[in-house]
Amino acid sequence: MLRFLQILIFGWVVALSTTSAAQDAPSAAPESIGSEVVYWNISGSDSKAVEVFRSSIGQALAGEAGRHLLTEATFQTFVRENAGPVPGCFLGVESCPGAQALVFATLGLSLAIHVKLDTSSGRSRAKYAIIDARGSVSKESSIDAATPRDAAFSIVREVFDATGAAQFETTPVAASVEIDGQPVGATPVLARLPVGKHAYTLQLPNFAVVNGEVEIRSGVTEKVKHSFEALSGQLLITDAPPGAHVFVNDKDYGEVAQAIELPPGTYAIEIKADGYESMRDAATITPGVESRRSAPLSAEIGLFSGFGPEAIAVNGYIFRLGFEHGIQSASFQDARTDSDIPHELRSFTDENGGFPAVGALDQTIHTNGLRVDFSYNFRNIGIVLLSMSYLLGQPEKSVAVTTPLGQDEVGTLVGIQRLQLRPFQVSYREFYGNFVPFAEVGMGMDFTWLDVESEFFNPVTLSQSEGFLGLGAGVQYFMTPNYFATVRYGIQGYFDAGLGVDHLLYIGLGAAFPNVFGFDAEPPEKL
Amino acid sequence: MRHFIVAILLLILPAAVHAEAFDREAAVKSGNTAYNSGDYATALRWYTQAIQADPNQATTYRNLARTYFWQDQYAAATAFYDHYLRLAAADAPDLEQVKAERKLASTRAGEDVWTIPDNQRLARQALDTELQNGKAFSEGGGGAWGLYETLIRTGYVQPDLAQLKSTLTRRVLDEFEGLLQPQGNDLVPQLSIEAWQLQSQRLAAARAVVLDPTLGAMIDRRSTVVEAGLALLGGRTAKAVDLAKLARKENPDLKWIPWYEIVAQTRAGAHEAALENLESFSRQLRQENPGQLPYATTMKAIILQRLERWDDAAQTFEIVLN
Repeated sequence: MLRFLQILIFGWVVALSTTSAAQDAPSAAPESIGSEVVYWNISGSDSKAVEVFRSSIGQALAGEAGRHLLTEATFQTFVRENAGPVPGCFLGVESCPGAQALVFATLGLSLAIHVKLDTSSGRSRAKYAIIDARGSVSKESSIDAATPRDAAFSIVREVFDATGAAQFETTPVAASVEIDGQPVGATPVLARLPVGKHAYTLQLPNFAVVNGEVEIRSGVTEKVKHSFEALSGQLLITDAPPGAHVFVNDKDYGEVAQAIELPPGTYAIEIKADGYESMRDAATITPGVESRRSAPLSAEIGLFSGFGPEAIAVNGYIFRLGFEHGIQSASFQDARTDSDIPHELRSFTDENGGFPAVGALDQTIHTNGLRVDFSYNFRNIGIVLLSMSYLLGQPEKSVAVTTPLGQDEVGTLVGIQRLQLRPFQVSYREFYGNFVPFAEVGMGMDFTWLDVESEFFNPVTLSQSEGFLGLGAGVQYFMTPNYFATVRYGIQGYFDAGLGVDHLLYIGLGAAFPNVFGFDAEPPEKL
Repeated sequence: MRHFIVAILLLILPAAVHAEAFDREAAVKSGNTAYNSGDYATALRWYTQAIQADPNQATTYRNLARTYFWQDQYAAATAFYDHYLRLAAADAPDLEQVKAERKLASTRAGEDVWTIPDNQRLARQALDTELQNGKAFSEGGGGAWGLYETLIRTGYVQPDLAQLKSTLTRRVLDEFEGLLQPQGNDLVPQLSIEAWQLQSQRLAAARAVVLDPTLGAMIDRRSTVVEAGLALLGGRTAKAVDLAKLARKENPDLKWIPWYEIVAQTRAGAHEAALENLESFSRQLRQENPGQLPYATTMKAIILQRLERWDDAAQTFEIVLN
């Protein structure tokens, strides 16, 4: 008994001296063993000696007998009082240790000590093995003593001087704990271990893995506490055009080349690049995971894009209608009435009412009206099928008219009507996105009617017709492959100098159609 | 009641395989309606959806080509007529008509040649790279699956989408199956409820792209396992029993499923049934995987604890401890 007390005092002193030693891990702190439960399995051929041994162990551990399961009865009671939930190992929420370790974890055992007592030689030889919480044999040895009681006390001294414990606690809980590469359970967990340094690993999904080392001292429980910090996640934008910027919750994180570290959560992201449509999306950042978003941005649709030139070019039939303004410098000499002895325009007069004896004066005449064109166009070359203009003007110019009597009388040109037909025209066009500049050349016929009033004769309408050569250039802007707006400038030179030169300004709208006459096999309109 | 639930599940799950076909047919029908009313832009969107659902159906390419034609996009129409002509049966009744339409479209297209838009090409390249080197499906719907969704959003409708879907299906299922195998000492795959939810998303992703009916059937079988896992870890114990039973029946190749059934029965309070099931499973383990017998003994002791057969429980625990 005295020896036992000496052992206890010695153990207490050792515990006090070792608890002050610094640990490598800052969160590891020792405390006295007090709660682990030890399962004893004692066997031997001499049942009486076994009972003495068992009883002696109980006496050696009298102060803490409640946590030493020495008999079947105490083990049954322990099993009754420790019916816990089905271990997570069976559900797959934690890894499975060995079967023995699983029983340790299920029942809350810390240590199992298997003793085989042999008294055949007249002495008591106790072979024992210590199984720790990993289910591993942490120590095997034997005691040779004079009596079963001595053997029991010797084992108690050896065992409890040779092991310590580590209590692992984490925030949050349920982190898996591995010691020296072996899983021992999930936090909070108490593991009894051989004296010495042990490497441990704490793992919790979505948190950084923690590696550390704990030094186990005899009879002391080292407490290892750790608070996990959630891992940040990464956002990586791929396939974006060079120079694209990424905005997370409207904050510019710079160019997309680098992964962006973000706390877990859901973010509104936007990828912007000059000349491209921006892309908006939501991204959920998961701890420790690199979330990728592909952002192959589409080029911005501007004035010069949206549909290709081919989409325009296929619409070969083009109809154009617009307003045309003519500016003509002409004399209209020889315009006459439709009668056997006609009135005939002699010349415009000057400010004094005079006009040259030979030839005629020109005046600038402005006319306004409608122009319509219908043409068929190959990709670049076009042929006019119909082109005509109808223009009106009220020039209010002073003119001299030779009457049927042969006299030159002064009158006023009060109205002008012009019909121009252009049956022979070709055009050439180029495509610059939606803009199609074009040039036209051709011949046509002009029919002009001049209304002249005078105090010397009744109002007359003089007419004149003449051929002309025309040149024109303009540009069309296609809003869609079928519809466009156009402006044009043209100049028409008349074969007869009397009509001079005609400058034509035009603005209009047009429509372009493919296959208007239905010659080709098109797809059905109904499926 | 349980038999009724199981019967309903058996009826519902295979129906999911046919959902894809239904999606395609519904999209084609909607596309035709829009086409017939002259709303070609809407028709194009429906036909795009139909091709993305099943890229092997030739007629959808023809319809898409026609919508491009009527929108004066002749180069695109020509390209999709070509897809039809490659995929259509040699005795398709409209071959000559489609050839004539293709000729007209090609003439009108002139020198304009349709090429895959840059955004689709880049998305496709990114997906190929990820399929070769990256993950098939990761948290947040990322990995190759995320890039596939991006590609689909770009309106990608090429016949090689079928091969792409097939590869993606295999890769996603490989990842799924890889996580379904217990590691080391584990009796069952180590998956948290979040991991099961991710597995469920993986199956949903695979189902969304699967074209092979055999793989579709496998996805449905595995769905029962995922449902069982979610029910078990989600605390829906009664349902977990039915689902685990169904999963065990549907997935005889997964030797660990009986653990789920036994654990579900135990958690649901059906201890006698669990014990009986465990005895039967132990006989199977003795033949096939004797290394797991000590775990079966431990589970038996745990069940005996619940039956308050304390002596038997203690003795059973001691079998393992000694």
